Amino acid sequence: MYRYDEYDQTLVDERVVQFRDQTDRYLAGELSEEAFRPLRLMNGVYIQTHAPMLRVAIPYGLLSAPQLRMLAQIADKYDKGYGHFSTRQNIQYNWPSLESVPDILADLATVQMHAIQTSGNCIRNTTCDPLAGVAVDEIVDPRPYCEIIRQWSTLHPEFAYLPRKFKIAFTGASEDRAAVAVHDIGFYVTKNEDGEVGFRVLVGGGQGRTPHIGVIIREFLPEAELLAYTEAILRVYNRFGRRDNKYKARIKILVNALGSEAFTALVETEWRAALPSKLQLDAADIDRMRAHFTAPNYARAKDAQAIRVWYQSNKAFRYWIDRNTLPHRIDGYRAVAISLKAPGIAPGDATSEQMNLVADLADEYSFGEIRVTHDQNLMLADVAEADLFELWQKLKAGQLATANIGLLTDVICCPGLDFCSLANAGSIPIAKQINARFDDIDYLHDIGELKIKMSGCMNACGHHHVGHIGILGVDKKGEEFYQFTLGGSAANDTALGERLGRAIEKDRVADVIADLLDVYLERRDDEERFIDTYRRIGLAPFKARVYDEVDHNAGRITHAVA
Amino acid sequence: MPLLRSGQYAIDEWTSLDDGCERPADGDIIVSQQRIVEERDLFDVHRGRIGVALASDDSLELIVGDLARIALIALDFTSFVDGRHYSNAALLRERYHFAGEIRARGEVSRDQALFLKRSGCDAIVVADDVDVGAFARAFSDFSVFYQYAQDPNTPAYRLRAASH
Repeated sequence: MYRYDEYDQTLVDERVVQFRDQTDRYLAGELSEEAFRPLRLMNGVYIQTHAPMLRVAIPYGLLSAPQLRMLAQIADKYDKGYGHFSTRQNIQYNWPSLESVPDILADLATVQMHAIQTSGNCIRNTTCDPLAGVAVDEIVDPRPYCEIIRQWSTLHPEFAYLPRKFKIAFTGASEDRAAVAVHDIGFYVTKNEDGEVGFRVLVGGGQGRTPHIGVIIREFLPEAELLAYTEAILRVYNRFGRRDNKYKARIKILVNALGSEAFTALVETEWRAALPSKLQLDAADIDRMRAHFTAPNYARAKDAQAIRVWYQSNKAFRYWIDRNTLPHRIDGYRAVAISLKAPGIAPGDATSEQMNLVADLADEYSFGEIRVTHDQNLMLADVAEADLFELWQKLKAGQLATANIGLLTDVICCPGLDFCSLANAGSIPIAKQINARFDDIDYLHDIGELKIKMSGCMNACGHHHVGHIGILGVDKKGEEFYQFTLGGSAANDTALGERLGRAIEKDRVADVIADLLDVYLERRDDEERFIDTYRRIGLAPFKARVYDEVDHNAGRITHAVA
Repeated sequence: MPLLRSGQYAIDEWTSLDDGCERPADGDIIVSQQRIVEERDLFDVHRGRIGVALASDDSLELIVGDLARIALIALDFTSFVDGRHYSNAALLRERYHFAGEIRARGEVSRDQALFLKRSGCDAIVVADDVDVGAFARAFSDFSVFYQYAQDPNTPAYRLRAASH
């Protein structure tokens, strides 16, 4: 992974000093709330319902064991002993005091970490495929390009005050595991017929109030043009993005308003007018970055015979292998997903004990590196098959081995009303309701792949639009209700969910899911997943079952009252 | 209101004219883009230098044809979170090779100073009670930069290239 040199270290150290000064001036009354707000957002500090929230950057989800230990230490020293991993591969602390944030940043800087531009109207954390470098279907490892964009975008003076937030994602494999199509810029790293590396460039994807799948504005951009072209996109957005209405200010609105052809023409004109540009990358620039992302020293595959025996004889282990481990491009290795979706736990949260355990396990079993996924889980990407049983037992001891990756209870869930001042409804209690109702692991495995994504408001931080089942918390006359959508997907077949019907009361969410699953189990063909059955039979059978039930129950209650 | 050039107090030779205001006989004047577009003969008749003030939503393209005759551009910020002028400054320097003064005015403070400078502004009009020392310090908040901008700094990735 990328290791800082003296340039990187100096920059984060100087940033700590700068932010400490800004915070001191604010606390002394020299900076107004309004003047301080964008400055603190550019350091990931939100003022929230109970306490400030600090979002720490985990560049494209990659962490070293010492970094994860520091995140644990920060949780203990400044917070309530836990952290929350987000859908953009960052970590969030819900309880730091504002006064302590400069100290937290100083601690982070000692392990080459920071909170720069994790919120605010600027370029945010660049994210990528959590299987980068190990995926079986990898075309090109996207991580060197993620790091090139990370550096270019960090404290870029021209783009510090954009119309709105800006999110960039990369994928370098056949399957998109980074939800690239719903980002402001999505890069598909690829090769042309001559074997040259470049990018298919997508612009204008996004979720939130007006969800949108982006458009491809260029089929192939040579890798040398990455910065020059991205700068052109940002400059067009900075100049012409709307500034009159916060809800119409993302680049997707601009692309729609101009039409993709006119938008593309603006970008290409700006890009070409700048050429030849200092921003064009040399092969040496890219090679130097690529050199940070070399494969670890994979030992000759150890004998995994014992693992096969355990797999046959131990059902719980078999479920964990089937759901929580993924194929690896190197024979004899697997990528291991660490589920942060245990029953009774807020999805995506990890205690400091768990973080320290994962750091130790990373050192022992996975070359000291950890990844954060978009599903708010963690991953050890390079585990020898022969080590899997031992690793599983140690993960189990830390409640990190729930065999539910990609299943119903692997819910993506925003912090919701319990933490977030933007929320209309609670989301964590719903996740717990779901977990409690569907705790039969055999049933979960029978259902198979099912991506439930839940947001507490229209800002869609839980990505509900691209859930197979999407759940949106809404406020109906002061009460928490939940709007269901079906058929969303964040994979290659990216699609936005379709509204099921009127919103459901809080207590009935798990019942509705049970109804949806009943229809699926009754109607599925062979190996169909939930999403496949939905696509084949459509919304109507699901809607009929859910609302007949709802109306039936309502009817019964009415009769009882009468 | 004082003018800082490169972080130092500077004598301001320029007079800003509101639209509709009578033009002085001579001297260096800053007029709005709208006025320049309507009174194009200003370039010929006025004895003194001409500067043009841009609002954030003014189109730079309307004056690029006249840049050879414009000695100064003033970028007026009505809101410091409206970042369009950073691109205006960058385009003036990078695309149009504008060599005159680019000054930022209005809602800008020391916390934007380094971004303004790196985007191509070489002067800032500040509040009367400005802490000039703080501005000077703000310009040196960072000694390392990750990207090319409109200043002469070399970004880290190219410094690495040089040392290999």
